[in-house]
Amino acid sequence: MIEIQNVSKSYNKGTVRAVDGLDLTVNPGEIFGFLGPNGAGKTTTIKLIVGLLRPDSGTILVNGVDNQIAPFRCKAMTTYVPDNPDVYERLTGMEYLNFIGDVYGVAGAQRLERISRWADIFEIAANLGNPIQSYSHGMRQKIVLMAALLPEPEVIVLDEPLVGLDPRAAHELKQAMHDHCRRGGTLFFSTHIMEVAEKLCDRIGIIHHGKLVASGTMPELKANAGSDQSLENIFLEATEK
Amino acid sequence: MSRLWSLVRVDIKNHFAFAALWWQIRHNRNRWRTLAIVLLVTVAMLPLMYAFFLFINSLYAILHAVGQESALIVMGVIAGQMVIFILGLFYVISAFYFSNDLERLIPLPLKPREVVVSKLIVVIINEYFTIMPVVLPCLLGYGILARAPLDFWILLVPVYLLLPVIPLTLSALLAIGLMRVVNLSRQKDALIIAGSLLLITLNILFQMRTHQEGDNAAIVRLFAEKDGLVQMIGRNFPPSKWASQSLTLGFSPGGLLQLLLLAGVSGLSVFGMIALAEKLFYKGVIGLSEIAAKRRKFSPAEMEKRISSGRHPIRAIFLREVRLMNRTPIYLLNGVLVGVIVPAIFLAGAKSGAGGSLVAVFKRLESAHATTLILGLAAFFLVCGCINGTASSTFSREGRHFWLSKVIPVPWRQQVAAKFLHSYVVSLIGIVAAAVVAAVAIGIPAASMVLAALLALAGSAALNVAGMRIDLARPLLKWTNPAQAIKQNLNVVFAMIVDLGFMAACGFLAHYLINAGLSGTLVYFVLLAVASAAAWIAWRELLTFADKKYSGIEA
Repeated sequence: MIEIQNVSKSYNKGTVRAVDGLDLTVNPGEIFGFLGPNGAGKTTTIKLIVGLLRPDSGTILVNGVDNQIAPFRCKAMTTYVPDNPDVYERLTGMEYLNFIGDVYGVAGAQRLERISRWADIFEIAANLGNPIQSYSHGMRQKIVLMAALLPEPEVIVLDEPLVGLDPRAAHELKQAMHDHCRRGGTLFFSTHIMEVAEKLCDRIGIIHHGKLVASGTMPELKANAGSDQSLENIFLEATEK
Repeated sequence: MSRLWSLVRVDIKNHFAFAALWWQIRHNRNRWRTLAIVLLVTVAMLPLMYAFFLFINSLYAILHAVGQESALIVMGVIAGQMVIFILGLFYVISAFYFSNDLERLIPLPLKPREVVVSKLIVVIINEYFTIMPVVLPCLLGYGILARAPLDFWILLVPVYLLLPVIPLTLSALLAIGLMRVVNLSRQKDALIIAGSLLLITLNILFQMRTHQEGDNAAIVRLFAEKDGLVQMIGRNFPPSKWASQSLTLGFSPGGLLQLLLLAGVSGLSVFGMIALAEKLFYKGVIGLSEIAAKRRKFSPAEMEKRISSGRHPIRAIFLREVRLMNRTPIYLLNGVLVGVIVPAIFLAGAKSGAGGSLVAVFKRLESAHATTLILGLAAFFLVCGCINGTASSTFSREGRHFWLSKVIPVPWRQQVAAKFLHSYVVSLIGIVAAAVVAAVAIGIPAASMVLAALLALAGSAALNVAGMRIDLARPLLKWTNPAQAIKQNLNVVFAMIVDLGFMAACGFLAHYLINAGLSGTLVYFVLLAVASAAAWIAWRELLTFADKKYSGIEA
């Protein structure tokens, strides 16, 4: 569960408010899609959740634990995929996954089973012995996703996870996201692809100028919009100004 | 030409990050603190600068007594050009071949020579700052002490501006040739390291040949002739002679001729490099990031072997640090191998006879006081152990990957401990290399070596922690090529100043205690206790600082 309570974050001595009094709850077993135009505050919100940024005010709770007061308890429950798969290029894929397994305390047997399974699903098994430097963008995205799935955390936070993935890998990821939530996990992800958000998410939030301008299930969003519109139209209306 | 000029302007702005700096000064909440730190460091450097001035002053007096005062200019020029030639090679390789912007520049309709010239200009500007502390004190010291005429001061500007051009273009020629060969190979990183080491070895051999001319007859000739030293050095590396003589001879026809030679050969070397770059640069750079990769799936047994059974996070981070450092050529050369190269230079010098001075220094120390040999040896070990920038760039080297350190569930203190262990192991390599030199070249007794090594180990623990503390205070995470994280990182310079200050303080303390009549054993144990206490206090402070600082670094 993720609870964002009245969180604000600004840059440039407060002149740019990236996130402005954001209130949001993502329940266990829920896939939450986070939409917004470029510069609306999506990545800042995500970085605040995973502890890469400190909020100016407000509280973020991960499964009831304040991520400013007990950051390492929160980190142990959360994995994160950034919008750009920048990882240690000089390590091999296997070394990188082992590093993640070590720091998250994943036992050897579980590690073997999960890495083997995900490597086969993402069709990356033949590349695990090679340096990440030799990977294509899509393969880097796959290795970062595998690292996020390896500890089987309670909360997964993904920033535009489908960018660069081939259709088969994208399909497998969506399946994995569903499986994670079926097990009671929480999933928060940002995307620009409306169709994916519409089909995949239990609830959707739209952020604009740092404020949450719409939030709810797809039927709730449609009801609030006052007509049977597509998510794309709801998004365009909500972010018009 | 306008295209080249635009490229140069963009490259300079990108490299020196003027816009980002100006933005930070205007918008950063901590700007006053940053300015205060810079001011504090500058003030802390004043005693060192004063000590250096005293050294230049006494050197001038000695040289003046034998009519060789212009040798001060030669020393400055030679030291500057040698620094450029040895370190410039890594820098040129890094700037020309490993800049992040190359992927964006190559698809543009630019000629290879335009890209190379813009990179060369940035490298040259950077070298003006690098050689400043080595060259300027000698040249300015001579100018002031010799009451040099106006033409000296006027010529100082073009000579200083031309000084790095020839050594850097020579480095660039070697780098372009080396990287063309490297790009043909599948094991590119290994070849870069091997090639760079080969070129450094050749350079050391060249230096040894230069020094080997110092037999007694040659020394007599050296001092008998006016400008004898300039002439001797000029035979081995004429640009140093041209630079020195254009300053000493001033506006006389002879002086202007020397300046003309320096400028002409500099221009020719640049044109030569441009011609070679036009043919070979893109062949060396395109495909350089492609590395040997075989597609082969692990068998179940292999997979099981390669899956770690669960290391402690400190061990996992230590292993990550080792792998990332050793697999990045610029880090390996500047961080690990420099600790071996520096003692190797001493060893080569001692074996060729030119480093006799080092042997003589230790013999004099031995005869002065039993303890001074151990202390001198410990200082030598400490220099070799801490000359690398591993600790003072440990956070900066993470660069854009720093987000990983922030999201993993490993407490900051454990991350700091792993990084300290890595830096300390690198220091150990330098200390062991220095101990080998001391044993082979100087023949120091084993007992003295052990005592000196213990002192150096305590000292290097304190200095590694200090280096990490400096880097954590303001890590340089935004860089365009890895050399910026270790070679052009001010944190590394600040850490070296702290290293020098620490060693000077220990030296003064030892001097005071010996003069106060304390026994050698007691002096040694006092210093060991002081170094150990400094390490412990610095370590506790670093951990407390890490708790505060780490979470505030926005990645």
